[in-house]
Amino acid sequence: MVPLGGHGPKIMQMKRQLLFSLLAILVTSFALAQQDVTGRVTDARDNSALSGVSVFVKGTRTGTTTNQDGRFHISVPANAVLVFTFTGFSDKEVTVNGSSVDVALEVTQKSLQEVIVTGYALQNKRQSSGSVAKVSGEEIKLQPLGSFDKALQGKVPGLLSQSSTGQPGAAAEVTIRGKGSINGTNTPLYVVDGVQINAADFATINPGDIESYTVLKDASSTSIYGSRGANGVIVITTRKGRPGQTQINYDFQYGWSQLPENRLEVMTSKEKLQYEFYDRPDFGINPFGWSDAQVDSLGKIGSTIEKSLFQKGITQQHQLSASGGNDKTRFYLSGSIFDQQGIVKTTGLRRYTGRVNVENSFGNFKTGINATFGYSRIVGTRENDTYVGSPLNAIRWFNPYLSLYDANGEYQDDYLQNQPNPLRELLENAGHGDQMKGVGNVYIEFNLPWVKGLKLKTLWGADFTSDEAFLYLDRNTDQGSQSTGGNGQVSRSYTKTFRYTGTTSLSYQRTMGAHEITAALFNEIIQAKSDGFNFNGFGLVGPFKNEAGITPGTPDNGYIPTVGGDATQSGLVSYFADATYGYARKYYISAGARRDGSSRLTKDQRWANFGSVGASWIVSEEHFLEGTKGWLSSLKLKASYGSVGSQGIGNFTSRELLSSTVYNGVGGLVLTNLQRSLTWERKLMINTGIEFTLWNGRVGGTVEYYNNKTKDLFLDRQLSRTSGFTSITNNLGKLQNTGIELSLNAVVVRTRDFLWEVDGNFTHNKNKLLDQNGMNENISGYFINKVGEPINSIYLVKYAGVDPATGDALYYIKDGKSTTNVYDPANRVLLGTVDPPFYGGFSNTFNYKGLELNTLFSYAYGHWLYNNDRVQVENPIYWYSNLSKNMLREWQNPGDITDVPSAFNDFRQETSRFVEKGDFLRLRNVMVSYTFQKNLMDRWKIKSLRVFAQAQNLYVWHNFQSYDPEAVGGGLAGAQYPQLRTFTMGINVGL
Amino acid sequence: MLIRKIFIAVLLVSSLGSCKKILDVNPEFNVDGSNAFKTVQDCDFALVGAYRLFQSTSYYGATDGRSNAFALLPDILSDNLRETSESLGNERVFSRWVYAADETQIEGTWIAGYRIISEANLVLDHVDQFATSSPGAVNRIKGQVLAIRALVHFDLLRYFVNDYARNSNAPGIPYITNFNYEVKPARGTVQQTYNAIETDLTAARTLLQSPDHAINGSTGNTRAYMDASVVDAILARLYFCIQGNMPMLSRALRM
Repeated sequence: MVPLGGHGPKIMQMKRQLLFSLLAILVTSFALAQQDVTGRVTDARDNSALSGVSVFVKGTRTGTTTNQDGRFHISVPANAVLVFTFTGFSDKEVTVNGSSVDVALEVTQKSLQEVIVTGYALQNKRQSSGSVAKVSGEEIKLQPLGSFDKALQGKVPGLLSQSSTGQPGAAAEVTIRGKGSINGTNTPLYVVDGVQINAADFATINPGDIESYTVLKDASSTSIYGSRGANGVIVITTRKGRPGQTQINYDFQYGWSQLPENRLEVMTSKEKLQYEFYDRPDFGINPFGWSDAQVDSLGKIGSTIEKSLFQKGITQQHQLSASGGNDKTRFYLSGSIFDQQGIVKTTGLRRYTGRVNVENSFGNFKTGINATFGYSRIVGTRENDTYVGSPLNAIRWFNPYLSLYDANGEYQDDYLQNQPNPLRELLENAGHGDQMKGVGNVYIEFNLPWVKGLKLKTLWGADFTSDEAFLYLDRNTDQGSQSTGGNGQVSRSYTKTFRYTGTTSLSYQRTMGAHEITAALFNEIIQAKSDGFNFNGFGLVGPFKNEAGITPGTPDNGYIPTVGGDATQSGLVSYFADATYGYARKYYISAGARRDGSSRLTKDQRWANFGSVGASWIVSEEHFLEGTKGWLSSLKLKASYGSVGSQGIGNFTSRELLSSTVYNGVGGLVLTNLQRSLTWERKLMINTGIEFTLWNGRVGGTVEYYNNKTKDLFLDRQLSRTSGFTSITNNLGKLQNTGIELSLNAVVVRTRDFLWEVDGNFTHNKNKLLDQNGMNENISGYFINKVGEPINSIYLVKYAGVDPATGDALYYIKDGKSTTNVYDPANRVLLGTVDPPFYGGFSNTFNYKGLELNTLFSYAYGHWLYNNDRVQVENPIYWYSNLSKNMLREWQNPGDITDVPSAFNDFRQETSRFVEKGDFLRLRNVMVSYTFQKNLMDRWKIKSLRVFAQAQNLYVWHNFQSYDPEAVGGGLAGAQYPQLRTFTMGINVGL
Repeated sequence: MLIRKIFIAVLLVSSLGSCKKILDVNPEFNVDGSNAFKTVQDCDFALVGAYRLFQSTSYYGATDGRSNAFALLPDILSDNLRETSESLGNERVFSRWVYAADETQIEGTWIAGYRIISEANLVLDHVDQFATSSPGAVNRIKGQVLAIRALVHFDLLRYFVNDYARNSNAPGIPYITNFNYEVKPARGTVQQTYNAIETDLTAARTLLQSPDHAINGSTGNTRAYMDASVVDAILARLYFCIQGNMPMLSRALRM
């Protein structure tokens, strides 16, 4: 690891060199005999002109840049070597031979030249001193997932994407470099083409339009998002047109999803009946009083519930796009349809999107618009709860020997335990969430003619989201019978959210010989408003399943409708400056400073300053490494330090709030929020790293170390309960995340026809609570935040098995040595964190003459989860519903050696018995594709053709007793919507 | 070039103008506490809030079979009820008397009670400023709020204290008399708690003799609010609880 201070002497040396070089420029301009050279620089892919390419004479500081048409003119000494460099392209050196030099630059793949988009400016990786990872949109767009954040799993070092649901369109929980906040948000900032969008709400965004995802992880790279960058930033750029012939692309795929493997097995009919003949308190043996004949016939019935509730869901996807332009105007247009049925009947996601990206240059101006509009409908079902009416709980609880339909073909409830028929709940009730979303921006850029490289830009963009949720509860269902008046319900709610972002900047970017300077001043305004309206109508006694069916309410019928609404808003104003200086393409330093004000924070504490510094050194450019050129293609050291902020709490949390209430038909106010002082939650980030490529880019890798300390945590402070409140959030405490990230890519085999590439990453994040207002332990439910330990650790009594003599559950007492048969919360111990400390992914690509096989794995380990789904089927009190197969091992007679206590022992769920390891290795994606050869394409008069077949989430290695080991929030409550296992086939055509 | 001038002008205006206004946002669907008590009617609103809090599911308002200190739980703990499978075993720790120190129903009662007291104290902190302009309304509001405060303390005393004797020096419950969430009050003794309850009820009784208008409607037997006779009833209950205070009890019963 490189210590931060290690660059001190280098910077001194650079200063001196800077002085010399300034003098040198003056001198050399007049000195040597010169020769004029002109030429044109083009993009090797389509021969379009590249403007702004830096051209300089090797070994000197003489240089120029290409104009709009890619042309340049330079005076050079005889036999000089010209070096061409341009962001996103490989450098090229050409020996001058004559007065004309035409050069075609190649786009770089993985190396220091890779372009990264940190937001308002393009940078190449060489210049960046920050921690940045990039995922190309191509890698993600074909994965059959409704929400792109799920597809980021395992692809980015430091980024953890987890999801506890397979519901199509549902978002994942994404954290970057661990959780840095306890009561505030840990969600990264998502920015699309410079406009902030709602996090974890991507059902209406088409991943097919996305060119790249750039993940910014440290203070230096997130500096321009400082007030919102504490949890990392995911910068998304959408596809832009390229000058040249218009390109039409059509992508299509079709396939199906099915149920993954179940690891929480419940009893079969025979086993359940066997269990009912075990003895139990109050109810004895055979509580339902089955006769021998009944036991015999019921035992033969196979459970049909999985077959009845789950389906093979069809997935299909179409996208048509057109892109092109000339040197003045570029455009990209697209339209897409995504239709994915879930594996639970009735559920799914349907999405339609359109996009227009246009850019035009005229004179010194450049203007453009990037806009998308989409509509999506999600049909979901109740999940992640313990409600008896949730169809997904019936998978576990419904007695296996009961049929879902009675002899007359009517729905049959589980009358033995009063569990409603899950099919009726699923099919007779209806609901959906409709979203309309528009994300777009317009911008205008003006190159000031008076100073070369000086540019004014203003960009205004908005994210507009309109959500409509509809729910119909049939009066015959359990949910409908619980509605006011007990006869069904219709609910509808509308919420619209509008957030605009306005960024105005004055920037300067110039390369003068060996000196590269970028500097910019910014002003940014973000304002978000959201308001909503909802109603619930009751008494659905007629034929209609919508508002037409609502019975007007009277005090007699009780169908009094309820109506509600809400609105909220927040504002953020920022002023900031950002600068980078590079010398000799070897040394780079960057700095940023900013001042931010947020409406969410207490008035006199809402403004704060943040800043960052960074430096990088391209060691491989040094003379002393000349000898290693044969194998060490590039080596870069980097370090950064800085502070970023978070205002991730409620819009009005800092105020004393009184809310509307009613008593005896009279309106009033009730105190709901205490006034408190709140300021910015502040994260201090240190990042150092090494980037290298070997053997001409054949092997490349990055090693990074980070140490992030959150100060002024948004943290709950306990109040005396005599206040009527339990706790209050203030800025208290410190939290630390330290970690190591490794990523490595290598071309293992490369012959003329065969290519084998591997790519992998690993992250170890260590979370540690340093201080919580002097309190050592803060227990909340089954979890504890304890100083010196990771936050969100499970805190329960340790289960020690079953006493063979009595059948009593045994619990370890706090010292962990002796055991007791009395449950006492005083014996709780810290069992482990619920957030994975180790995670990552790896992929393999094999390509033989256009036939490609790609496999992608992701993994996470070292964390624990509480399995409440198991509690529901291992509590002997629930003998009247179906139970886990584990219960067949229940203690019956003295001497039985087992891990399931006697039914006569008082059941306790707050123990480690239900805590399981969350480790998993997931085969996320396997894709086989074939790209047709070029000569065939020419004959068919199409540009490109590829066919593919893929399997998503093919297999997961894990030991968590459920359908899937991924869980957010510390465990699985119940009613798990299994992750989809999807198979698709498709085609990509380019015309 | 005109376009150039317009562009620069727009930039300057957009970036510098209205920045301050963006940060000055106020809630529209809540009332900010700093300007919640501007008229005597605002105190009336907050008084309604205090009554509403009695309906908390952790207090008198238990619904859907949820048990708590005042509903169902006493019966579950006694032999009045026997738990069957219908309750999904949710009350098992109480019905079998194996409850531990961390049962939420018990903590919920304590917090819900003090939440009502908090709201009552919030009104008391603001109501006096209208004493000269509308004395009748202040009497009416203040009387009810004091009665509410006393009633809840009395509830909690009966629920959480071991020794009911009038002059017991056993630990009582903290008697909270103003709104300040930072306070960490002492428990005091049972005697002190009784004294404070009695003082509040007596004061309430006096104030409620002269309200600006009747507190409960004249029709029907339902009393949704605490008027003077309700306070008398609570006093009667208090004296009944304090054994050996027959003269006061009979006086209260006469009311």
